[in-house]
Amino acid sequence: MAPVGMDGGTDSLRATGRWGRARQWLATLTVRQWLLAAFLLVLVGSSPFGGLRAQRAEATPTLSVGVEQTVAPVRLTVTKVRFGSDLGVPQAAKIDGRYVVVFAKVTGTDEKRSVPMYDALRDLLRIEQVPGVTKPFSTDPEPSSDDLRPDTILVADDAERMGDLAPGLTYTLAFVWRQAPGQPVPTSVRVAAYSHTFRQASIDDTYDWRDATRAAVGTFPATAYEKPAAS
Amino acid sequence: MRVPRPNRAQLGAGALVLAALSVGRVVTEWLPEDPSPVRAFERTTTLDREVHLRYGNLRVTEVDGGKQLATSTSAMLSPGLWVTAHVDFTPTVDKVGPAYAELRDGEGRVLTRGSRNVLECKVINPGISGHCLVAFEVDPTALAGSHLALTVNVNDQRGDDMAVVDLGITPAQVATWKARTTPVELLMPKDAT
Repeated sequence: MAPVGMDGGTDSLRATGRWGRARQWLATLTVRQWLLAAFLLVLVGSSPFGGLRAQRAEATPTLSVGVEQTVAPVRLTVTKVRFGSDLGVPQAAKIDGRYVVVFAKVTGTDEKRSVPMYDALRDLLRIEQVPGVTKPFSTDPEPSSDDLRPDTILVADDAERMGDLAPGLTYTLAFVWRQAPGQPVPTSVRVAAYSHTFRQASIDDTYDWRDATRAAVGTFPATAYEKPAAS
Repeated sequence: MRVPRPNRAQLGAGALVLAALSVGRVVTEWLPEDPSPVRAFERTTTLDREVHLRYGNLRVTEVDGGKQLATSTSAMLSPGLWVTAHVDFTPTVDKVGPAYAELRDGEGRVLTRGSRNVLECKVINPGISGHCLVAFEVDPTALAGSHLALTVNVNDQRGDDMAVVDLGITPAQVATWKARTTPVELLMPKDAT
């Protein structure tokens, strides 16, 4: 190979010489060095767009009284939040602690089938940062209420337990949690609504509403439950 | 370390793998998209006509509806309408009875039973007639033309007989049920064994 920069050498020879030396140098690189170089290239290339940092989550839509939100697979309108030790029905009779109840109108958005209670509906709402809430069928206060399912879900019209949500019907539901005895009264309650995706399971061929995602949140004033006047 | 250049055999193997993946993708796209490609064997019938199933004989004898439902344990008010059915069932093989029910409304939507709708059966031994009570909450606008589907396996309905009964509900019946102010009573007949 002709030495680069020799007196009398042509430009093309000089270029070939440089390219040749570059090829020789590149051939000495290990796989690890190639991967490192590729990573640095991605890092530099992505830096104008924020680099490899995690993207900031989009703002969560707000739940507020009387305002409808679509949280797949339902349309949801939170109407009020109440607390009390006796809701006056057998399914929520007098207890030592306290019920915290979120009332909401719920309509299924699935055009093909009912929305099942035992995945989408039971995991539709959570109450956050309410002290001393118990797990369903337990009496021990949990350190956080954020991930606790409601103790029960009742149909407000007849106080019976809710089942699968039939397509085309709108129910007023009472999502009922329990607070253990001796816990402070919640004057306001943050309610989070979770959306779900209808998909096949990874390990079998069953389809269900899965992947609960916190999709809307709002803080509601909580007041004492007033029993409906006897008619 | 230098990355070795693949030889022809290696390139060929890679190409075959890609081709197999492509064929797999095409086959997957051609398969039915329904969640259950293996379905139940549907045996269709109409109100008050017996249907013979692998495990027994079934007949829907009576259909009724209204906004309020009264059972032996609860009273429920629907935002739509309750539709109820009385079902005679005689097991022929084992002591089994309908354990799964779904209602297919007039728009083809599937209403699953869940814990609020009713399916209650009194089933005796093979050869002895039993009775079931069924109730579903339905959107009144899609109630006419509804079918009731019943089978014995609550967890898996595939690969076995399923009775699909045209309940014969007309728009005029739906209008009558919407205007009704008394509860629909859904109770086991006194002579049910």
